[in-house]
Amino acid sequence: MKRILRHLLFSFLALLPIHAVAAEEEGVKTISLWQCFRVEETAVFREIMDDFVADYEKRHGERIKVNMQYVSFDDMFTKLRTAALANITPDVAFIDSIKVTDLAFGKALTPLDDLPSFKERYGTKEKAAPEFVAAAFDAGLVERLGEKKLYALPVQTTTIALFWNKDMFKAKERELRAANLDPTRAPQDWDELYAYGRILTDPKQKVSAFAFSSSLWFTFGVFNMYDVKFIEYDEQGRARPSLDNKNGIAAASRLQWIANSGIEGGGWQRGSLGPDPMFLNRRVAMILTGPWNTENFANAGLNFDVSLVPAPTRKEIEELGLQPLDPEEDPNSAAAFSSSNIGGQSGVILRTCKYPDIAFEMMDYFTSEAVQRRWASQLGQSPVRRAAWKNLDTTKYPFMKAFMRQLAKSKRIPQVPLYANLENDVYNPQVDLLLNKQITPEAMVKRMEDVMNRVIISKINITPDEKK
Amino acid sequence: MLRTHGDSITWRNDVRALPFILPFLAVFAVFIGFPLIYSLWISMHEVTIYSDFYNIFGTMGFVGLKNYTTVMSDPIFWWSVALTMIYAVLLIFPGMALSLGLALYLNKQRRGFGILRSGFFLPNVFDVYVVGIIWLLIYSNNGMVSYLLNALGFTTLAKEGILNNAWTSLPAIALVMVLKNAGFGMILFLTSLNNINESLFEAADIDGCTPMQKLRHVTLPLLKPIIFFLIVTGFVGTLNAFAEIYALTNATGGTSFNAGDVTLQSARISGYHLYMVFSQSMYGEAAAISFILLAIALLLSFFSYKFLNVKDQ
Repeated sequence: MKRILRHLLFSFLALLPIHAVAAEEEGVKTISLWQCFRVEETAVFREIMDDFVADYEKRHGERIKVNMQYVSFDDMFTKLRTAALANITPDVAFIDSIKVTDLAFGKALTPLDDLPSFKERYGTKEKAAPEFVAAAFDAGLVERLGEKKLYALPVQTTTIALFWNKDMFKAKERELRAANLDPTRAPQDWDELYAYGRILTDPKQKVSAFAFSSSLWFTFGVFNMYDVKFIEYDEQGRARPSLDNKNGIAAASRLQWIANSGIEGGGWQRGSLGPDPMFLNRRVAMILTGPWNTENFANAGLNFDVSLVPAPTRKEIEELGLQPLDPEEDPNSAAAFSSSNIGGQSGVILRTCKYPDIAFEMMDYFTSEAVQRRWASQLGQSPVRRAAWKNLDTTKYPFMKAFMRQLAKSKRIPQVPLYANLENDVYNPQVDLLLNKQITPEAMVKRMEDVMNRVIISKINITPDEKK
Repeated sequence: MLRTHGDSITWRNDVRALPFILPFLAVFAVFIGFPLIYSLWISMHEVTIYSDFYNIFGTMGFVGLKNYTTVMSDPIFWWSVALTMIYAVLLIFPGMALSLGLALYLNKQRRGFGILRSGFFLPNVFDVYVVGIIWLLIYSNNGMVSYLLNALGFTTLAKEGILNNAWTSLPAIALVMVLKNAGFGMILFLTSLNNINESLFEAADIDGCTPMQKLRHVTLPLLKPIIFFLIVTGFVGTLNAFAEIYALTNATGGTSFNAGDVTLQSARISGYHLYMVFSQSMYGEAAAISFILLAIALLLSFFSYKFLNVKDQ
């Protein structure tokens, strides 16, 4: 028995180097990739990567291989951080765009605009920017120690928009028409939301007109449409909060108003089911959510449509001097002032990548117009490259156009390292107080700045020695 | 058997015993001793947001006791400790009472009691997060509890939801955990009850004790070791509690309320607070919090030990 075990052990040890050699085949340059696509997305992505390998080998005459590994979206950042400690990070990772800043601050990423392949393809990051969905591209720009670099390319982009239940609108058609409101479309600004909401809300039936989630990512849009910056950097890279101003107060006032207007169903409250199940169960007529819900809602038999997030009122636009966010919209329409927050995944090249130019070419291939068209037509997701938006066949995915329209006026996530702190320590607790009317909007933005200074800004603005 | 000179074990015998405990010592040193000392080292160092992800521990700067002073001067940390104590009281004593009640009731050989015992133990097997999600539905402002509150006339509380109220959110979470963990305590009490010598009860019967007197003067004193065990593990458990807070507050630490110029959260207990600090890569501060919590746990265990006078049992 002992002898058998000894033989087995020696055979195993002898096979190890063979396995190691097999992993890195002779003359084949391997790019390891951590991605978090869903099953149906992975199937399409795998085909695209096969095409990329063939295309690359044809153009460059050298053999390459892409080794893909699935890591869940929520765990990606933690796993990358742990892998970095053991120096076993992949060459490329597709991560939540929110996390790019943290990785860049931690010197884990290769600046893309420094790569020869990037320079050859685009020249500068400024020249590359107009080719992509603006907010998604901006999410890859990080200002660190006074220097702004491009650390990521958008590979998948998403946002939220207004979902409205057409049947619930139709059921109140008579009342809506009597109030000069069109039951065949969604409200376009906050005043209209209230006007529609008063009619659609029915306490006896436990139906509310609207529900929203008060978490940071879902309410960024409100701050965006009031042009609130959250954080600003000077030329030396010193940060300062930028909330305690008339725009910040206007956005906070608007949030407080939404929650307490009498037309909101409590979707924002801690311990509530949240807006999505409320919409699914026909408890609310309108919610703000993203494209990931369209299939669920359609499968549940809901007759719904997707429209732009309600915009600031005309009075607010004039008082605050707000500028239109989408040049393609009529500047006198509410649609030009609607906004939302960008989400999705960004492709980053880790600093230990052996072949960063191949890695960049891989990401650039994936975000190319032809591939993005294919991605959109097969999966119904908005392309990250603007050129792919033109003449895109969206008949199979009827809501895609609405999301693309919303994406055009969305803004990037504020460039804040320690996003979890921003959400859990700075934002959520103060917004809770605001929505529960325990503090005024003026007090909220002031307190938010105080906490932000203590929890985040003080960690950015440390001495140069400490930064090393 | 060890050879001794008189009552004392000699140094020679200690050396002879060493090889026998060496395997345990090796495991202890690798998995407990080293991490403990390393955590202490980390608690005196600092990570910045500019620290190299590939060499975080190598680039940590020595800061002495700064992390400890930072934590000790943080009102949110002390709030989390105070909240943990409240949570412990809400969790441990009602939990023990329920466990003991179930054990006393089910400590009989009757038809169906086996199924009942398994049934009460079952929630203890479920993942805390799963239980949390189920109770999230029950507590939601469209859920069963809100329906009952409405019927009882607590319309405001019903409307905002029991987890959205700063006063009720922590007791509501504690109730979930009391019900979930009652089965575990019940099994421990049942085992202990079975080990009590029947003759003691017979003697009490002869002396004319009522059932309540038997419980007070015979059963409870003999259950002290289990009570002590449940109190200590309860305190340690509440100091580390995280999953139930995460699940039942939608990962927010509970609803917020004003305390002067500070915003506090109704369910940000120490385990959750520690998680928040750790998740922000503030390893030094997180390690300092761990040691302060360890000191608190040891203190509480010591006082429980003294108070219950377990040694005499």
